[in-house]
Amino acid sequence: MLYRRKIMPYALLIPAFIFLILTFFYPVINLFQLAMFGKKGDGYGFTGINNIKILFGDSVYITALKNNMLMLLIVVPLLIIISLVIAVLLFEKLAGWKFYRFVLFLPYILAIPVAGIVFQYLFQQNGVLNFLLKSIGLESLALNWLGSPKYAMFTIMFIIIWKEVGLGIVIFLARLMSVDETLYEASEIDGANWLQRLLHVTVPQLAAQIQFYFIFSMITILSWVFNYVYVITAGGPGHSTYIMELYIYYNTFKFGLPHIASMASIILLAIVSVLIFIQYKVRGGLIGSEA
Amino acid sequence: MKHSREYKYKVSRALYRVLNHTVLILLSISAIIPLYFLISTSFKSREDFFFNKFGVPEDFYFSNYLEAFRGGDNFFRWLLNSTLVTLIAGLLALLCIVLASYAFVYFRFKGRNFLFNLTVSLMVFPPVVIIIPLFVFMQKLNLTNNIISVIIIYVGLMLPVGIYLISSFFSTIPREILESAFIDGCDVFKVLLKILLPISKPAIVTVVVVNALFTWNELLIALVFLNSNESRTLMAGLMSFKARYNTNLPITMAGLTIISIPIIALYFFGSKYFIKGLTSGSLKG
Repeated sequence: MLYRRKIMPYALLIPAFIFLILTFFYPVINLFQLAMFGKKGDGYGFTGINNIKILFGDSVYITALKNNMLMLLIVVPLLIIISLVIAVLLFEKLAGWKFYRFVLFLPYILAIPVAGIVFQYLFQQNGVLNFLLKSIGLESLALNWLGSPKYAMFTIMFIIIWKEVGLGIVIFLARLMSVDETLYEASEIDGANWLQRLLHVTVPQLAAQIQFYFIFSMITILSWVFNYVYVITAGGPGHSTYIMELYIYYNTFKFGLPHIASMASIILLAIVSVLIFIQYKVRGGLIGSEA
Repeated sequence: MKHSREYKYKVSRALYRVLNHTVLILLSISAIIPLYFLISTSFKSREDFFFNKFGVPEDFYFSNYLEAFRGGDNFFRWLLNSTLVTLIAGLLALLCIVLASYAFVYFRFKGRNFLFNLTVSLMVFPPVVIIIPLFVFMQKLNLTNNIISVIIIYVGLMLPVGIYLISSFFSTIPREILESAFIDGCDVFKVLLKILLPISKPAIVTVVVVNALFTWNELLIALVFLNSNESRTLMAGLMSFKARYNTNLPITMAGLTIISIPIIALYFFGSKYFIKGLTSGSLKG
């Protein structure tokens, strides 16, 4: 049954759209105006796309872009592989799998700033990890995890994986529980080993979820890692852990360059939009068949 | 021969299980180590922590908690702000979500698919993108350093996911149930209140939980819009709290534990709602 009222549905949408217009549509339009302005002569004026040139001439922005790309290349595949393997391990009708799931999902619900500060104290040069490593004689492994430009980005990536992997586990596990069991029985009779079963039965059955999690993780890495970096390293040492979100935030509120930051925002939005567009084309919807 | 092959198979199964448990136990330990460190340190005195970095506390030293409340001058205020923001934004968002989903699923109107897809695709919108225009906007309205600003923005940010979740749930409810009510003479709002909402309780609890988790843990928006000490939420206050107690780790950890307790408690009682809510986008298709 579908109601056929002319005005009622729009009336029902009004409250939601007041908030949506205010938080999404108005800022995006405004952003395009802001991004086209900049320093001109003595004051401010319309500069067109000059801010793009400034952005790509800024080595800090390039570092931020590179770090986001590095994370996409390393964190996204690792998240998928690790959570897939853990989900398969949990699925083997093991006693206590609910308890394991409960524990492994715990990091995901913890606030990022809380987890970030805890890890900061664990990974500091004279932090708990290095203290423990030294006390068992592994002095050479006690690296400056967060204070060295060489390792800091990788340490942050480790923390992101630690925190985010729980979501993948429960997504894959939920799907596995509805996979036709005869598929597994057949492969067992055929003498398939663990790895063959994983590659030839599990992965094809989970294709839709893997694809969803792939896109979801890419979006996370592009637009939801500000909290990690801000709390753990604030972009340092030097600019070695800058990411696009942090660049936008600092340029606006620390360096007073909102026009440059607006252009950086538009570029970030464009990258995310391309990803979403691809997802729409591939699956005919953002998540699948929609209402 | 046959017997020994069966035996071998059983042994290899058992070995596999042991290995499987071992891996999972190790993973579980690494998942909770930071949490263990957080809570155990929060109960240590400074001296205890100095000599005993990672072990269990010598005895439970509660004064860190008192100090966190007392010394973090505005800690109570931040707690109050976080609670208010979570409750008000959560309620407002729920109202908008239910009404909009009702329209999307049960009404036929022009632009329905377009508006629905538009709304849902906002789920992936990077929040950092909106802060510059909205900061200027809120300043004009004199709403910065006022929790009203973050409440408005949080409601907006929560709508896409919420509308997606509730709409998906609504569309699984058999239409006949509504039709009979409609024939009985219920009007549009009665159907929503008396029939749809009671059936949708699990989905609504899920959305409430997901929203509360988001608002309570949010940092970026709070950081930008709440700069005065009295207006901060716990997450935004956390950074100055941490700077203040930088040399006294146990007190910092006590503060972090207090902030995390509501979420962890909720998770203990309703982990299924968390897991369902945070994963339900992935199971369709």
